[in-house]
Amino acid sequence: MNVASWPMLLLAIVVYGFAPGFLLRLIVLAYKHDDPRREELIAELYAVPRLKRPFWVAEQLETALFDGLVPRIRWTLTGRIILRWHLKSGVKMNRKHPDTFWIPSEEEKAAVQPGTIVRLMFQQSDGWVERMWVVVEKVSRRRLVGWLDNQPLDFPRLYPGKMIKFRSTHIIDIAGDPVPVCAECEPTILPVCSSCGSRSSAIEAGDTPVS
Amino acid sequence: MALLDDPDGRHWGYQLSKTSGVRSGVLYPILTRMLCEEWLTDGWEDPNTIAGKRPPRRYYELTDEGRLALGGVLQEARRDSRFVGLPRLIERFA
Repeated sequence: MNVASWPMLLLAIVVYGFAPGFLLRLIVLAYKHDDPRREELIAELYAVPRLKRPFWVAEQLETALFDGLVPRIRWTLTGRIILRWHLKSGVKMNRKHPDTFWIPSEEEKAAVQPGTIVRLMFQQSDGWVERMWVVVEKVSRRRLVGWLDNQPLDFPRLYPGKMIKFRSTHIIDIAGDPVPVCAECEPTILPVCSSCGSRSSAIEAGDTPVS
Repeated sequence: MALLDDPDGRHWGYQLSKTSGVRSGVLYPILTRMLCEEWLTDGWEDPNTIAGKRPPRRYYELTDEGRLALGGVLQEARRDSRFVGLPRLIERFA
């Protein structure tokens, strides 16, 4: 056999045999990990005639870039750059609207302890505001740390149980009695029980807590 | 129209692309939209029925709503002057 045909044979095996499947497995990574198209396209490759596979795979690259990669990039940026949120100062709002915007007194805010539920104002970069309850976990001299105790209506990357760091100036309301206890004592969404200090089994399993 | 060729049967992505003449890069987003509109349902081949070593393929089936909606589209196409030159094609699928 002509030795010069061996490289061509090898090239044909790579182009029509190995490369389409290999490249397609890379291309489908552009889709979200739970998108059924990841498995669908790999399975469909077997139905495509071998000689047409390189061109069919090239078509998938075009779709994956616009249908898969662009939405993923947009989601990654959402909440970090697009629709970024911050806490609004209750003190500043009260100064601006002393007759209509009530906030707890400094003594009441100083009395906040772990287990107390406080209300904060969350604002997105597009102006959307939601007032949500946070259960205080830790109190230090300069700031407080707590867990979101509400399901936001429209805040990407914000969910019940998410850790929130804030200052006393952000507090706009304080709920009646300090709460939460662990699942053994009472159902709760909290990751850590303020009564016995044990961690919620849902959080240990890696689940996102839902109220 | 390719879906109406066999309204009660299962359709496969590559086969639909060949029958309809629509590139797969365009077809799959269309199928996704039709799934969202509930004109189609999808499923996966039973691995026990597959001959050879390959992963199960995804298939699509028209729902009742999908058949009605596509039938309506064909009715509209009959009346549309842009499709005057395609009476046989429309009649075949109508």
